[in-house]
Amino acid sequence: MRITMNQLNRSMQYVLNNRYSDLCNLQEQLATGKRLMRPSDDPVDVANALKLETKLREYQQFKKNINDGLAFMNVTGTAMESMNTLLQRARELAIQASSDTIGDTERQYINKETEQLLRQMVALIDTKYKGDYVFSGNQTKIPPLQYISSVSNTVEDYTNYRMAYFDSSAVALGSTVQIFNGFDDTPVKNIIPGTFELQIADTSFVEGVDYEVDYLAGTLTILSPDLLLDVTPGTPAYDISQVKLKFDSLSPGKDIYGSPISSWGTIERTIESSITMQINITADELTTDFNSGNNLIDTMIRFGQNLLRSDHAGIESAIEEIDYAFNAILAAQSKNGARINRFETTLVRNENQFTETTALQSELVDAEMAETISKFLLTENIYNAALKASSRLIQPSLVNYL
Amino acid sequence: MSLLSVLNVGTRAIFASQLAMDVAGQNISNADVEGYSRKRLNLQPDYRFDSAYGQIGMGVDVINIERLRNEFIDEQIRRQNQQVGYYEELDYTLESIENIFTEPSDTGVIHFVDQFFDSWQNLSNNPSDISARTMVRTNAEILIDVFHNVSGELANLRQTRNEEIQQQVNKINEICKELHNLNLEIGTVELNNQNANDSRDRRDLLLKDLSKIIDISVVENETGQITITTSGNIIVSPVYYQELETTTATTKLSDGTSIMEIGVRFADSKNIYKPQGGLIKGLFESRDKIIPEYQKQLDTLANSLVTKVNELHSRGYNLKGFTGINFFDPNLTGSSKIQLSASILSDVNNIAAASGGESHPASQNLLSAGSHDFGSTPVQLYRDPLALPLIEARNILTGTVIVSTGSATLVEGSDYHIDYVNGTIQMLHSGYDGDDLQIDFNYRSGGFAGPGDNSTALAIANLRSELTMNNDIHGNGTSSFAEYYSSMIGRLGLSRNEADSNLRTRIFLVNQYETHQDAIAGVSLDEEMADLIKFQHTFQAAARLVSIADEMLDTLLNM
Repeated sequence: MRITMNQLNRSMQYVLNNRYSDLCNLQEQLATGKRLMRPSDDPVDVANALKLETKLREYQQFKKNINDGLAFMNVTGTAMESMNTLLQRARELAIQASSDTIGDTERQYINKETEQLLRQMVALIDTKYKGDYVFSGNQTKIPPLQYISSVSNTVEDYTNYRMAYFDSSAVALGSTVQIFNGFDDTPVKNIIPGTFELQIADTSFVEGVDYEVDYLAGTLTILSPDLLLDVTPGTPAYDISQVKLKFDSLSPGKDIYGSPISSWGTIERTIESSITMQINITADELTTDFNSGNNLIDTMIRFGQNLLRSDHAGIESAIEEIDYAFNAILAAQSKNGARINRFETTLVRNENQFTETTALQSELVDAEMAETISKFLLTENIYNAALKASSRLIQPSLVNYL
Repeated sequence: MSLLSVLNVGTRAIFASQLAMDVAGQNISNADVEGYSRKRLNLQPDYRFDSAYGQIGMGVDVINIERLRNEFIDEQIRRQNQQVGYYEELDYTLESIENIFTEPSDTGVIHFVDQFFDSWQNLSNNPSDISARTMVRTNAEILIDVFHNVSGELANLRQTRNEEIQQQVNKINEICKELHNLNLEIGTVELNNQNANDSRDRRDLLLKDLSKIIDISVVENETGQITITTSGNIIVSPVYYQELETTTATTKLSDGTSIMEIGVRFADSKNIYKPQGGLIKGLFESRDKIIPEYQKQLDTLANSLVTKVNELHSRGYNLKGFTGINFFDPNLTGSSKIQLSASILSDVNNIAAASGGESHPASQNLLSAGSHDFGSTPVQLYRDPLALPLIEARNILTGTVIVSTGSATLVEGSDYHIDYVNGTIQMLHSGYDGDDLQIDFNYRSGGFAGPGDNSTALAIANLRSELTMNNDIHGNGTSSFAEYYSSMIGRLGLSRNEADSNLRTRIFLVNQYETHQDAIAGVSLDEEMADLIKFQHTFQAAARLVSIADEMLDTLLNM
């Protein structure tokens, strides 16, 4: 076969070109550390790598979810622990107050402390995590329990309809009337014992003499004929600005439809693919003993009322009721603890899965450095040899020897 | 035999070796010219018949200057070159698409889809948090931008294919015109039995260029002129050539927009040109099949994302307890157009992270006969009027209420009024007093679950791993967004691989054939140098012959 210069040239260029593009590829792999630069490098591996990438991001997000859930549950747990301590103290006070050796005045003092305990309990029930009430279920912007205060006797209060009122004008002495909330005309419930004051036109009325209060039900038993009045705001028969009905009461938070919020609503976190776990304890779970139906807030208010009235039997039954409240808190605590455990185990698994998937992903996508470098060196050698051979072959022709 | 004839023999030898030097010189100077074929001077001995000795040499005779080329190899090159053109175009388009999708990297579409769902997860952890809500919107906007960008690039690529078709048609026309001229030239020259070697070289080169662009078959007639047909239509004949021309047509895209696209037809016959091979075929295939395929898949991905997210989002509740809000604008479909809905754009609080209760159907028969006439006072509706205790049906869903008397259907607003929140019906006039009313409606139990509820956000976040794409015969999805996308990228890689390896094979084949042709038609400098020396010596010897003959004549004349 005839060999011509063009042939040599063509094959030389073809070979050099191919080797050079090999070198270029390997250089790219070495520079980026990645084996796969574009889908056509290895279509199947690239498709798999993309799927793994999505998985990895998912694991990272689940980890965030788990950690956030743990923080939430830890806040819940801390609040419940403090609750437990407060309840211990309440129990001690109940035992102390049930003793015959202390007098009524001391019981009043004990009620002062009980009132503070109750207020602290309310504060704990209204615990927040990142601005959200943890015991409110889904209604995280509404506190499970809120204070409604009936305040002084200014005209402003009257115009704002903030003042509580009752109507005893049509009843007989010794009967019971309901106190209403001037704000929305609902019956007042859960008055905090020891905060009730009643004054009309500078005459102070004395609890136990002129009237009796049922703090839980928010009712008034009229004992003095001076109190047979209608103090409903807007009633022209009576000058409202003369009435002073002052107390703090507790009311559960209400949603936009007006129903109490503490009984329902779950907050969940996704901790694994399609596995969501509840992380919240509702206020009801915390305060109500499932077996006896006994409510912690009711217990504390009843205890306070019995202290005020020095009701011996009542104080003694408070000890038992506090024990029920213990049960409720312990149940909630163990529920929370179990969830924390579950989250922690999942966190460990999540981290393992993440590590394994990262390894798998790296195997698919990352260049094997040692292998790539040795390939690179090999190709470089071939390329050098091709260059050398070509340059030697292309130079001489007969012209050089004539 | 005379001395004069010896002189004559010498002169012819001098002339022949001069011509041979010319040919070698031409070969040497064109050694690097593309398409140049080696020329060879064909010589033969001349003779006369002598009665005494028989044939007697009369010196050397120049037959012709021959072009050394294997035209069969040229045809093979043309056939493969057409495939090179075709696969080169496919490879280019697929490579461009690979570059547009930039996978695998952290700037590809799926990365931002992931990020979008991550932000929903994040929102589900902090459903009432404004910054988590803003994150969702920002990531959605980024995702929309990426979709717009990728689809814009694809549309742009498609447009450049149109421009390329236009350019290639111009090029074809130029080549055909020149081929036609060469045809005429070769015909004229070769009619006189002379060679048209250089015109033929030029023609072969043009044919090779043309074969890369379109599929051609070439037939040569006895006068050396060629007829070229492409897809059954003659574009160049010995007497005629036909141009291609472009037409424009409007094509509707899958996202509803239309673009101007170019078609090709024969200028004289007005037949539509359907290329069977070459670069042009690749261009049409890229424009009409490959690019639209990826545009369509991207649109499908974007549209299902919009539909699925909206489906969940519109059932969810925003921070203020409103429902029925779309996250994406439901009227804008296609990856180039998708957009957030106006309510999400205006306020992140409209992102529905919470869910509401479920919708239940209910019906009630109000007996108005006799003393039950309810006149114009509102009447409470119940979830189930037969089950005790009665539960009020609050939160009635708008658009679900049908009130009829059995024969007539009443009109809301003029006949009755519904209090959707409290679930009461009130008659507005006495026209139906005494009639029994059948009331069908849907009510929602539960209602807005509250700002802390994250169930809608969670449901949307979970879309990431849900099987939402590629429905089977039952309408159930068989792959997730990520799976759909990665299999699309996988297919892209495979197609590119296929085009690339086909291209390599064809280039290799063309290279092989050209090497073959080079062996025949290529100029070897060594050979030419050797020839030069040879003809130099011939020239010297012939000159010597003339001078010796001259001396001999001298001797004779001086006798």
